[in-house]
Amino acid sequence: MPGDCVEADVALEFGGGAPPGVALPWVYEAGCPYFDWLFGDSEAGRGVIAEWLERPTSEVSVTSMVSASLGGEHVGGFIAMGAADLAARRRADGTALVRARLALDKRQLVERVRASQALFPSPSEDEWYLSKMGLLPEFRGRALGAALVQRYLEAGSEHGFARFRLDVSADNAPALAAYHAAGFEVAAEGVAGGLRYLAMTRGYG
Amino acid sequence: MSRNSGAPVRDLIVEIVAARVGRDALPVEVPEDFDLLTEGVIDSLGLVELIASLEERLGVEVDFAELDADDLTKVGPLAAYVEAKSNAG
Repeated sequence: MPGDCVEADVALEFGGGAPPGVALPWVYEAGCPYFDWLFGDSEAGRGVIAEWLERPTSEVSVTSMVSASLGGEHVGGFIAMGAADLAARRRADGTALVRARLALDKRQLVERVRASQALFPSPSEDEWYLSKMGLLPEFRGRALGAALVQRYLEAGSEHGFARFRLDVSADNAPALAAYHAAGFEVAAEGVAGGLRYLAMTRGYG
Repeated sequence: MSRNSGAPVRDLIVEIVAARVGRDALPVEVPEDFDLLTEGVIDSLGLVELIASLEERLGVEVDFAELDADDLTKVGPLAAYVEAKSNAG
């Protein structure tokens, strides 16, 4: 069947993590609205995530990133890992959050971390977790997202995972549609801090 | 003198953590390098709650940016850092 997905599959090239500065825009946007809320404001949040991209122990480390390019140009990518790896990385990021210089007092930080746990229930041990996925704005609307999701599923399978899990903002209609199209179904809902996220899962095949 | 550096704060850390998870979750003698996070005694939420409680009990606000990330979750180094910062401030 002719379609954009086929074209995108052929054109996109995948590789290791992109330079942090190049990937920051889509990684940060993929983490919003949660990131803006967690860090208190967008500028502070971007500063923190720029540092975390370069820290190998972070959930958003470029070392866990698959970068997508089109004709040699970085267009976006995804960050994925197994559930146990995710738990260790979230512990490290919790420590980094305490050390980050934010305009929040520690009680506000406690409330935000508590809400984070309510928003994002931990995946099961057997799930390959999609932490971030995104495209730079100028490369959207070309059905490249479907190829990214496909590559994420393949990567999980290559790592021996047969179950997949992601969290998506309930307000992000385009992403929700893309994940539904890829076979994901809503498994749980997290509401906290004025945010609403949906946990989606699917099997492989 | 330096041998006892952080001792009062150290006791406070043990007290706060014990109140949260039970004294049995900690060793009888808590080693200086006992890592509360990696030993599974507290999670990320427990860590920020500990830090917030410490600041409230001591009446200080501490900037942790200068404390090594690995030391932040270890009883001894965390106590020494907080004690030094609260005395300085």
